[in-house]
Amino acid sequence: MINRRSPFKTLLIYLLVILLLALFLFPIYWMFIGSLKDNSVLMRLPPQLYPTFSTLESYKAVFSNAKYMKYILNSFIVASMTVVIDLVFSVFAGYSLSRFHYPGRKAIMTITLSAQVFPTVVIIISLYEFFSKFKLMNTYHGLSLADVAMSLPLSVWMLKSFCDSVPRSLDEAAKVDGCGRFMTMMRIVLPLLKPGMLAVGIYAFLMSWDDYMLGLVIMTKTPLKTLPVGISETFLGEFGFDYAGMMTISVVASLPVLLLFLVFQKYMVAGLTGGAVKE
Amino acid sequence: MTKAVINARPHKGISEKWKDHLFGYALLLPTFSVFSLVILFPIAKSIVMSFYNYTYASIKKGPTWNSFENYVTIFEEGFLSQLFRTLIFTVGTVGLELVIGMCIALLLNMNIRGRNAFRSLFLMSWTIPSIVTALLWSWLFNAQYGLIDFVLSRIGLIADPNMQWLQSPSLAMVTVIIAVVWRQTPYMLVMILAGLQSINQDLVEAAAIDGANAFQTFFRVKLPGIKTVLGNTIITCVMSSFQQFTIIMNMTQGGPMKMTTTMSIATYKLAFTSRNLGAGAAVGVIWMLLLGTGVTIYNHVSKRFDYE
Amino acid sequence: MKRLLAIMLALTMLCSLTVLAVAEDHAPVTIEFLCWGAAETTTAPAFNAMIEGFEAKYPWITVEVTESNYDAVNTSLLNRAANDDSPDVAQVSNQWVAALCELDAVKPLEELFDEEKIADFYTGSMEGTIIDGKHYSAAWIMQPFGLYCNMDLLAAAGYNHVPTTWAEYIQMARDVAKLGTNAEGNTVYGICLGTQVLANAGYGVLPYIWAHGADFYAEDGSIGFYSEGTVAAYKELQDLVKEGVIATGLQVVNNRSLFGNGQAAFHIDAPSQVVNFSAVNLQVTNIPETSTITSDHHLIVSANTEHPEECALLVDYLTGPEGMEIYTQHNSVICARYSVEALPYFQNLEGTTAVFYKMAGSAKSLPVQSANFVPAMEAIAEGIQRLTIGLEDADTVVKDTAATLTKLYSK
Repeated sequence: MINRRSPFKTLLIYLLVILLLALFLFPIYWMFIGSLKDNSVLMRLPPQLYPTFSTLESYKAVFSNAKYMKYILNSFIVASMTVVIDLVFSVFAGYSLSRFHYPGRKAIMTITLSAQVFPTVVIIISLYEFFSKFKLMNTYHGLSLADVAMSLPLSVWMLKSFCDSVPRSLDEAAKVDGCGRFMTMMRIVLPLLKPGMLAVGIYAFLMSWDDYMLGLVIMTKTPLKTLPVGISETFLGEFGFDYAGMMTISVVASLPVLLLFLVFQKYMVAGLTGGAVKE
Repeated sequence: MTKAVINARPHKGISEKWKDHLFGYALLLPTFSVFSLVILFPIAKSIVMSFYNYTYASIKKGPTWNSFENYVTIFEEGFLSQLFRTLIFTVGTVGLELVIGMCIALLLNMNIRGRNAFRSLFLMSWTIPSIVTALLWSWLFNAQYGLIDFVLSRIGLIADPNMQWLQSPSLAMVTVIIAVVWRQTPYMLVMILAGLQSINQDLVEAAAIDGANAFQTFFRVKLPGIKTVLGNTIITCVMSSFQQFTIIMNMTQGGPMKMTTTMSIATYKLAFTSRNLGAGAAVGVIWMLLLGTGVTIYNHVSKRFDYE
Repeated sequence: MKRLLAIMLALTMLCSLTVLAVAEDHAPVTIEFLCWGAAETTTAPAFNAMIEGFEAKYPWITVEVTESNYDAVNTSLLNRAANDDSPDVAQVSNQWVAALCELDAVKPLEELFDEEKIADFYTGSMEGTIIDGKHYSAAWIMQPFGLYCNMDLLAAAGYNHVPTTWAEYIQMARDVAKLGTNAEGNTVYGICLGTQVLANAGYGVLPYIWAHGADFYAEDGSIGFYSEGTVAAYKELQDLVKEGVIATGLQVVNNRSLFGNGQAAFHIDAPSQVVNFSAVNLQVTNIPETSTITSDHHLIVSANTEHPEECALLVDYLTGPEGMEIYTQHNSVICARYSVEALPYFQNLEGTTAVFYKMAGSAKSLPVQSANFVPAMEAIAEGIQRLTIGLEDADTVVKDTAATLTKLYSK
């Protein structure tokens, strides 16, 4: 096939891909260069398309602002907790669904996947009351649990697929050797799930970092607010005209997940697509 | 053989099979506890709330049953237009995601070098947090200083260099659709690409040998090959568009003049801005009914097509 | 010996009784103060200093400050009121008080202060929150809105003075808009109008209505919104939008940036905003031929507070000469009590602050008596959107808005 394609056609394909890529990546580029300029440059026409390192003032302002630093810290704490809880719960559930065929297994799989169908916005109407009763309002573990619930369906599905690809014979060998069920899962299968766990972990982190609605409802006290809520309050309220600051905080909010993704993207893609395609 | 032996043994406690089952159930407990706490109970409560008069004032004095009054209220408040707008938004976003995602996936599928690198670069916009997407595109569409107005007016596509996008009743929907498509297309792209790459290459080659051109290969060989993946991905994207809140809320707040108020925004505004939690819940209930019906229909239809 | 012992015993008893008496008078108390002033960078130093000063004066009282941004304080107050968990004292906008009263969350001032003290607060500011004959909030800061004028743009259009009549105001705005763009290449506008559906966009339009002789209320207290004057005002605004004199689709915060960036001739806003306009050669004046609106900060006390005396002390301190002396050292704010006028700060005012100070007397209260004030203002703002962005017929828009207002205020 390859040697039948003209070099002209190949070039055309490359050009198209690069053009489309440029269109998709341009806003990110725009965000980066905007963060390095100050408002007097940004609020002027014509807009500068090239980067100028006019100022790092905006960055200094963000990093010296204790409020923003707290928001970032809160997001990190919640996202980390979400990852840990999500991993533990989804490994258990994925292994369970993969290895054991108990009554109701199909129904449970369907329910797990359908959990993400319920509109979050309808959940939050009553969530306030439930979380208040269980003293989960304005707590890191409260928000983490909520984020975990949102990530679990896909996490369980991903890990179940990965589990399915680990041969059963390993389990049985372990059983013959006298290994208990729990130990079999932890010592034998778990280590082989590392790529899957990595994918689930990153996915959970991304979902939690991105979360706006749950954080809005659960974290009402300023020192506990997460980054998306803090950004929304600041830049869609009082400082709605501080475009330089807006771009800077956007960069700061995007960098952790961008970097995480760029380093681990292989696992992410494998996780996302592994489950869907095998069907 | 083994079965007979086991059954012949006198019952000492629980059988191995059931020990397995119980272990399996136990492993599921954490997951289902979280589901119950965070999803099941609140949804059930919200459904119940939709039949009560649940406003801030009534929380203190105790909510009263008002049967379908909330449902009548939401229709008066324009539920049908909200539904309509949600459908437009969903069709617009998923449609664009499908077309653009498919094009890029087909291009990347053509055995070019650095395909994985390109794929990862395309995925970058998917990782950008939604709030940042909202801010970024609000800035690009800014009527006074935004890049889009500048470029479009310079190349003569629009007349007014300060044309309103986010505050234009007709164009606001376009802005949120573009922002969401920018963020979601990479997901569609990655799934389709993976699907395309799992198609048996022999089939494609056979089609080529039979003299099929690109179009025929696409529609007769490739598309059916990725049918399941495509279907599932489209469903996921549809549900995600229905639920979209952060980007719309932070770009247009559902305006101007309610032109971008989808059911998601309407639920939130009714519940938290107008503080009528019962009415907000009512919108949610109808939404879930519609979703449930839609998914059931899809399942039946896709099962039918599977047998072709 | 015996006598000495007797005297010592008596003295000891006297001492311990005094100590007990003093200790009982001042058992340590903690009260919660919810505010947004401590959260905003411009006012945080003032708030911290005021609380410090208060705690120094009353050593047995500890003030626990809870801070959030403006909107979050409003939401928080409503949430907490619904759950019977209101903070002891809260900084509020006088616009929020009626809704909180409906939730039985506010203690009337009559239970905390005597008549003389209540009379010390500016009547104009206190009027809005008199419900069922009782005062429910204490006026703290008045913010009469003034007309900010960009003198450079006016000069470029051929004017070297601020407008003194309404007709002059409109004409000047038109002439500035005709300039097209300014030196930086940005479009120039005459007048700033908030046109997004927010409460401050709703009441921002009231001076325009008043300038045409109309009002929110009719003489008999019903909603008099639908009248010749209002329709005329709306028509005028629509014409200005069509001529490009007004930039549409902006929130009040965006209008501030527009004016601050030298792109608008006129902007109506509160005194606190002058710091955002440092790059503009400006002058502040009264809005010609009409009263101005005022957005006041008040203080409320929770209906269920366990320490009403301490709350009263805090309210009195913050609004009175001692608190205001500290406040004015950091920010230029306008007092709301007659006794505070005697402070040297207010006796020696100059420049823009003096202009605003003079306006405080003639400012007209917003129609905040109803718990539906905010939805009502949003209804007006929605009408303005229909008028300026949808370009609908002015008469229809006013009629529809008036109908919504009547429904909201009929409770």
